[in-house]
Amino acid sequence: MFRNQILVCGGTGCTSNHSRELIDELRAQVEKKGLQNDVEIVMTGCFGLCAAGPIVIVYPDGTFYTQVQAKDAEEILDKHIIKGELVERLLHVESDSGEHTHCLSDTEFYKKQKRVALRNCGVINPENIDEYIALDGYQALIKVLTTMTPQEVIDVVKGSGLRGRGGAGFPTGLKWQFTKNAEGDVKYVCVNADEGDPGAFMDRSVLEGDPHAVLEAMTIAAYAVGGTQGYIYVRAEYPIAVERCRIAIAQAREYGLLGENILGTGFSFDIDLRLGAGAFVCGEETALMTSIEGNRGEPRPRPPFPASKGLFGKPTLLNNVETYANIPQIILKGAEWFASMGTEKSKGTKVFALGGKIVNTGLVEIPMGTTLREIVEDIGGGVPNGKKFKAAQMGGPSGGCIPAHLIDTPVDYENLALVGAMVGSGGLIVMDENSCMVDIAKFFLDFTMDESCGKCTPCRIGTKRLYEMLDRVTQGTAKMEDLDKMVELCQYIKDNALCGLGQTAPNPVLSTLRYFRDEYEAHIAEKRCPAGVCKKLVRFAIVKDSCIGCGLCARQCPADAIYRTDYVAPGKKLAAMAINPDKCVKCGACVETCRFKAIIKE
Amino acid sequence: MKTISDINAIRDAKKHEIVLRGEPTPDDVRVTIGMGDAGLACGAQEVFCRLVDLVCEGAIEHVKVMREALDAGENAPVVVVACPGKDPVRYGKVDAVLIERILKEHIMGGNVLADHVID
Repeated sequence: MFRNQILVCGGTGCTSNHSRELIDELRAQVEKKGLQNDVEIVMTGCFGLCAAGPIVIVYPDGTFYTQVQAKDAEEILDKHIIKGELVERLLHVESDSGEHTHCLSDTEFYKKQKRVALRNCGVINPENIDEYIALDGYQALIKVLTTMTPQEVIDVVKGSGLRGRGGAGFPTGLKWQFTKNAEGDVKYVCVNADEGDPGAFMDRSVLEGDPHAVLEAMTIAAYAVGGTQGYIYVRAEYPIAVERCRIAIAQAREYGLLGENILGTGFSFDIDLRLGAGAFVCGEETALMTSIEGNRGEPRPRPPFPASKGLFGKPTLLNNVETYANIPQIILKGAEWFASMGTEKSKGTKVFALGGKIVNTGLVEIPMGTTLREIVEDIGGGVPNGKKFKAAQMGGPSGGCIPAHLIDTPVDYENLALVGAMVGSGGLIVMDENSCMVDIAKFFLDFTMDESCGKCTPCRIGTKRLYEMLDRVTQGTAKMEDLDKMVELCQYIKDNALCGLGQTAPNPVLSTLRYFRDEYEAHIAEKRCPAGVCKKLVRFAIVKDSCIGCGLCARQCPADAIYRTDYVAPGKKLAAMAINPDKCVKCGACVETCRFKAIIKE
Repeated sequence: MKTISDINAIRDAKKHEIVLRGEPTPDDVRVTIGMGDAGLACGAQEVFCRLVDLVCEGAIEHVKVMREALDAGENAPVVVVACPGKDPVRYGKVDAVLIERILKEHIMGGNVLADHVID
């Protein structure tokens, strides 16, 4: 038994910040100092506060260190483990108060969270099945297999009020019931881990941090609906998640938790991995199944729904990673426990991936109904550099934006739909006053246009035409009547596209038009980008009377666009500088360089 | 292949090893051991080990073991017990035997060991 346990995040964010090197160095130092019997170095999944990675937590104290590098390893062992002294300089500093916090649970980021789907992430080593079992892992499966009928399982899931966490929010229990009721000798149970939304990474974190929870839940689902084979469809761009799933499946098979006659109960079920090849559309359920079948990932019309005719034409249950991650807890703690969290129609918790212009970039899990203000200001730490919150894009490219005056909107399925956004997969991108909403809409449309599979015309050609219209707005060449044409085209695409990707692609355009029409109009009528983002509409100029002629800006300019004039401002010694608009690439480097605020952007 | 009782046996054995990995909650009793130079010289490390072992063995629940570099001078090693909603109590010259008594009599029994309390 180890009296000191040093947990290091091995999620994707911290790994790309060299947490592996840190783990190696900690292990080497432990060896060197002869602490092998006292200190255990544990690699875990994601703690959530990705912005502060690599993250280290030292137990039993629970001391929370951030941005730790390999060179800090020796100091942590010498000071903290041997002398019991905190390494102050590595403690987390709160963004607003500037205070050091000792434990993760003391941070503002963590306080308002409620961890259900992420309960084991950052606590256990995801590559060690025993640690999952130690925290009541696979107890829900044992309970289901030994004491419950399939219908009783479905009734519990129904009673919990759990709804699909992948986007649409369909009641999970109903989906299970439909699949159970469908006739079929073979039934499939699949998980959709093809998380393609820009800015969403909760499915990745669950698979990286707690893969056994998904395996256990899929096995429970298979027992409930009569499933015989399972598939995890995960994108190949998630190499760490793929590897952990592989390890987890192998361990579960070895323990008899997957395969023939599970735990000697007579129930058989197995799971295989299928890797996506990088197409966003494969996150759409029918395209995903087409892809598992070995075909090009294209959607097909619904109905028939997967529950009656899905993978290989057989009844298929398809849920999202986060949906499954809730299941073992619901079985163990009961439907009432889960239903006690959240709002009347949206039960439980939801994980959101905070990104964009926010201090605490990372993953947060909060009860449904928490307001956007609490998420952004309290948990997320607000907008950095004293900038003002302008809007939040929720639900990725399928969702919409929520403007500042609606920041008190409770976050749940109904309220978000009401304001034109959606829970979606849970991506939450914060924008500040320097973000141009036309540019944001263009960014998302560029993404969906690029990812359109091309099967149906409204999506293939409609998104392209819509993008061209948006582009004209940002270039300052659009006409006022184009805005109404855009709305008409959006509506047409929504009504006629074959799958969810196309049907929701116009949402970012519609919602920015709804809340920020004045910005669109400024681009068209005044040929001006209020946020100063759209390059065609921005001009840089030097105020000649403020310029002291130091020439710093000219040295920074990558395009050689700044030259010296003959004019010497009153009271200055050197001739002022000026910008040649024909050469200027509008990068803004000169503005940042000038210490006399002599360069303006208009 | 394992049986249900095998899985339960793994759970019970492994539980003790990861019981230390909980974030402190408001219901936890926080027991802080003063390490510092004086503390370490007078056996704070042994007190820490004994306390961690007791927690891991499951002798007591809802106890969070903390360490700090408290300067306690001649009273070292010092241990501060903070029960939820009560003022922290400081004990001086704690050793491996006394920490077990503090755990049993103070934290579990609710009786402060007045003879060992320092200001």
